[in-house]
Amino acid sequence: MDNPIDLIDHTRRCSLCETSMAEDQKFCVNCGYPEGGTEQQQSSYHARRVLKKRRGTEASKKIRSGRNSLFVIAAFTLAIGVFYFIRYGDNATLITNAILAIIYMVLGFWSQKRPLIALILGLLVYLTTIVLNGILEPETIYKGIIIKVLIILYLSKGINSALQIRNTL
Amino acid sequence: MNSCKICQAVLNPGDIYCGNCGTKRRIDRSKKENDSVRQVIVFYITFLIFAVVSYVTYLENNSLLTEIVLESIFVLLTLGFSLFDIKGILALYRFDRINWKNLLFAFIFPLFSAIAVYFGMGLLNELLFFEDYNLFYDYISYDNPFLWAFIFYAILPPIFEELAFRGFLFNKLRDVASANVTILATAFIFALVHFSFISFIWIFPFGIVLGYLRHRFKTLWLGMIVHFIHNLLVVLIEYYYFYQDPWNVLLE
Repeated sequence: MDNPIDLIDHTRRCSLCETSMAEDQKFCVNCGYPEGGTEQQQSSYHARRVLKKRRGTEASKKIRSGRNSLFVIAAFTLAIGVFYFIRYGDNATLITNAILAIIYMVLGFWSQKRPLIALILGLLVYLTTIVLNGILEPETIYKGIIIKVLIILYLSKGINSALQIRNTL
Repeated sequence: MNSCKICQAVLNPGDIYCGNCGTKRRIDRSKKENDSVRQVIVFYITFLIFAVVSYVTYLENNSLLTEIVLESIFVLLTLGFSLFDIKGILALYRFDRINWKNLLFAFIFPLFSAIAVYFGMGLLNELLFFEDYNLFYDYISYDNPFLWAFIFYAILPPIFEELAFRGFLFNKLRDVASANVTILATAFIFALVHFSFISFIWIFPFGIVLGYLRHRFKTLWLGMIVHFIHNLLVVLIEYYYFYQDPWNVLLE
């Protein structure tokens, strides 16, 4: 009969992620934890981990703000189209704005899966609409300039955070 | 065998960190990704500004010389951006993946796309905007209008739009996205840069086909053929209908 003590797994493992470690290894090859390092190295690892997690949470918040901006623009664009249709019977504006609103909505939902690309495309669509409206009616460039700047800012921050998250993973 | 770049310790294939010094093994792509995203945005904003400048210039002076100058600027801008990725772009001018099957597709697909787009969009424009636009209204004042329409619609866009969108832009977006997402994103930007949300309905799927050909066969030639035949057919149909109308003949 086997001795129960012999059945116990004596392999050295990382105390954080349980990855098996060779005797001469100081650091875990999976998570980088300094298992065989000094106390100071271990506490600095934990501090870095907390910092990274906090950065990740902040980046996620900014991505969410960028996504919400897309939904806000979608609603606003559709509302303008409906207004022009009711007020002036303008079919063309309604259809154009409805297509645009659908594009923003799709990009907003897509940003849950692919935040970087969806937010880049959202920013480009938004810049294009500002420019096109500016060409058709130059006075629209100054209308709601603060809101426009805020939306561009939110989308840009979202793009930056999406890039940050990609590189910290 | 792989080794750590810092301490030269041996690394196993699945190792993410060096077991000896704790250095992360993964190559840091952050700089390349940041640069690519920046270049994509700068590329788009440049063409957006160019479109505004073109629009204003046309309003001021609608002549053949204006058109030649603006088209030359477009060509120079495209070539200028391509210089940032010259190696990646030159690799796309290859013939080794072209075979009779994909070539046949490149010749047949635009026959259908041009006819569907021409009549479909014509109908939609009439329904929504009550307008019947013919591109030869812009060219009728030039000597030899067909030649100029042929150059500006059938020759230049297939060469330089393919280089800009399926060449430069595709390569840059591929740095930060998967192949499928890149095909969708380039098609989207390609549709967007035409500045007509109604035309989005056909340019977006058309761009997906061009992007797929670029990705599947790693060449720009097939996309250029599709784009050329599509645009050429549209020019020919427009030319035919333009001279069907006796008023236009008189106008000439």
